[in-house]
Amino acid sequence: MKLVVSSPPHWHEKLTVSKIHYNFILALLPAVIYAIFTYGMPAVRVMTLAVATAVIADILIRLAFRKPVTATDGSAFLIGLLFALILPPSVPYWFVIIGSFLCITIGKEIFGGLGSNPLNPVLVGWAILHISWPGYLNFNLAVANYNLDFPLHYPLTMLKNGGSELISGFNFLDLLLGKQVGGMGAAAVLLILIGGIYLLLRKIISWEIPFFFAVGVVVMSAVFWLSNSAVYANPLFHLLTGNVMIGMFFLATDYASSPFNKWGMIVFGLGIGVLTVILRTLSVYPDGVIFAILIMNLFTPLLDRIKNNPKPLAINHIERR
Amino acid sequence: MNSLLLKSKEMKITEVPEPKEVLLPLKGFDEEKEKLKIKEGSRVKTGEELIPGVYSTVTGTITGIDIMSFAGTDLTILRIAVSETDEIAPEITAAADYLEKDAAELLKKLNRANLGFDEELKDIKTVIISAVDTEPLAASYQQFLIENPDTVTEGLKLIKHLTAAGKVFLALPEPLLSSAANLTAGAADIFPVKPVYPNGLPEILTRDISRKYDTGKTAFLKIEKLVAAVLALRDGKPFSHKVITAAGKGKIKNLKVRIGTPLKDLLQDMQPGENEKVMIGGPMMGTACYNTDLPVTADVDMIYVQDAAEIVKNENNQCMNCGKCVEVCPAHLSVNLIGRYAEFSIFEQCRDLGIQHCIECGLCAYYCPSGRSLVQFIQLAKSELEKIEAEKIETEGEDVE
Repeated sequence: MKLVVSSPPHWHEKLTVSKIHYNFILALLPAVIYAIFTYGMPAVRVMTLAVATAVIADILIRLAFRKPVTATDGSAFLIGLLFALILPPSVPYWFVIIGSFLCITIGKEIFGGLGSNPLNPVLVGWAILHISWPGYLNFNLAVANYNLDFPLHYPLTMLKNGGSELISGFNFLDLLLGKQVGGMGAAAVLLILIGGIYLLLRKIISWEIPFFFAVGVVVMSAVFWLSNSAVYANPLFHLLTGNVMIGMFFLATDYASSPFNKWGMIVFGLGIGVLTVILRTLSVYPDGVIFAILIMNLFTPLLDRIKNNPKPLAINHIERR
Repeated sequence: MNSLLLKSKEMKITEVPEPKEVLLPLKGFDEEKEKLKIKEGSRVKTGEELIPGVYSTVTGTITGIDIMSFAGTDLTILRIAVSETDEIAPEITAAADYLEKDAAELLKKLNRANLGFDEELKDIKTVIISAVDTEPLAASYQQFLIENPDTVTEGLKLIKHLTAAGKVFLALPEPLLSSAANLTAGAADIFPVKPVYPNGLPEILTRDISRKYDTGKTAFLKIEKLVAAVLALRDGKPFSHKVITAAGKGKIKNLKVRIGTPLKDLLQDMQPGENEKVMIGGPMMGTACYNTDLPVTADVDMIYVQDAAEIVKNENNQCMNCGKCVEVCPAHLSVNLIGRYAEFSIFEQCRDLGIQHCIECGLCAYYCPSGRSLVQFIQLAKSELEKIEAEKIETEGEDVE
């Protein structure tokens, strides 16, 4: 009789890499449905194109690098989907293909694949496009041909151009329910929040980064708002617009590019929140979330050095016989 | 934090029929020296000294010496055919008034009764007696507490007498708290423990208690040994039986077995099939065996048979940096970094990250979504670091010369 021999532990929780990615995708599903219902076929076109490009690019590049193909683990699918959800629905097909391809190649695989990317792959692709062809990421132009039941202006551009007077027309409940212009899935604030809470409950993401991201946004925007409420928007407006919600739960929490110890996570979250509001208020860009996350990604190796004090367990006298 | 609950259901201890043959590992066996004493065909009594520090746990006839391989080392095993009557060696005596005797003398007596107490017990400040099981499926310690309350109370008094320790703690799982409240009779403080793995491991228990109380030099004792000590001194019974939990094939039970019983005698109704796994120890820290001929030794608390379908195949994928291992590590180590450094043979960095604090509880590898063999990596790094250390001492010695 042959017995199997292996090293301990002999049990496993059975939450695998693929299951984690599928859970992320599941959590994004409400936002995907929102995008389809709000923008129709153009949204479907962008999402399928982005996902297909990402998966194919992942397979090709791994073949080229002579590494095992891991497309079934859902990582490329997730990157493509997240990339699509922060785009406006009107972008041309080549724009989506180039962006999604860049996410996978420059964002992820070039650094050694899953787990080794120093920056969030989705945001790398997005940032390259944003700087190269800024015109296509204009949310106001994107909805020009639509007839929707909410104001067809990107709230953050309004804020940038006209201060808090222009945004007084936005009702917070509408913003929460996704009745706003923005990334095709990112605008569905409530649905993203539900997805994020699902991930928290499944313990797939830890609460520190989203919570302190929100704290950073609220504190920093409160500072501006209290100093001059005629020019600056209130904290709630900042929380409910742009990419804050999707960034909080889905972008900032990317495993490889965020710190792994608690104190690092807290500083990381706070940093993104504060930078987001500073970029929104003082830079030329209407929304600062993505650049804020990319900047804090660069600090991750440093934040990981915050001492995660090993608690000595070796004790002077133990009898284990 | 984690969901690996320890068993808290009561499971009666059942006695296993006497084995036909008992196998005893001879620790530190030197063939040249001890050839004369251990002869084939000679009779031994229960509690008789075989070689220094090794005592027979059974009465019978020696039938031979074998070598068996377990966990990468070769064990010298003495085979004894069991006789029908159980005779106890005359050196082991009962004394009802044992508590009035000198502590040093009692310690000697205990060691003579195969209990292996440490002489250092004298200058100990705190003694921790644990009735918390160490592994998720095990339930033998707590059952011991449930079934022997009076002996435990007596044992606590004995410990006070033996060690002159300022504090004695009885650690027990929270569900047993109400039923054991009057058990200590003032001789010990009760320390309730959440029945979650790895709270029952000696290192974790000692740390948790030292966080709440000023402990100083601490000794750790399983509850079973406490009871065995009383039985040895009071009733003159050497430590020859062991209570273990046997789990597998959908069954789980507490068994009282003679030390040295081969595993196959205990696995009658949970016989492992082809390509299944048998381990000495539990699912988290147990050691898988090559065969079922190995005996139950004094430090075995559990045996576990795992079905082929449940066997975890380590994929050892790339680390995705999810941080789960860091979150669950009871020593708060950066396991993800240690794992990667060890994988790429950068062992000095592992030391800087505090690898020596790892007690190999296995939680990191249990949770790792990439299926990385983190415990194995850590074991590798530890042994390599030991080699580096040894080399350093050697070369330093040369410099002096």
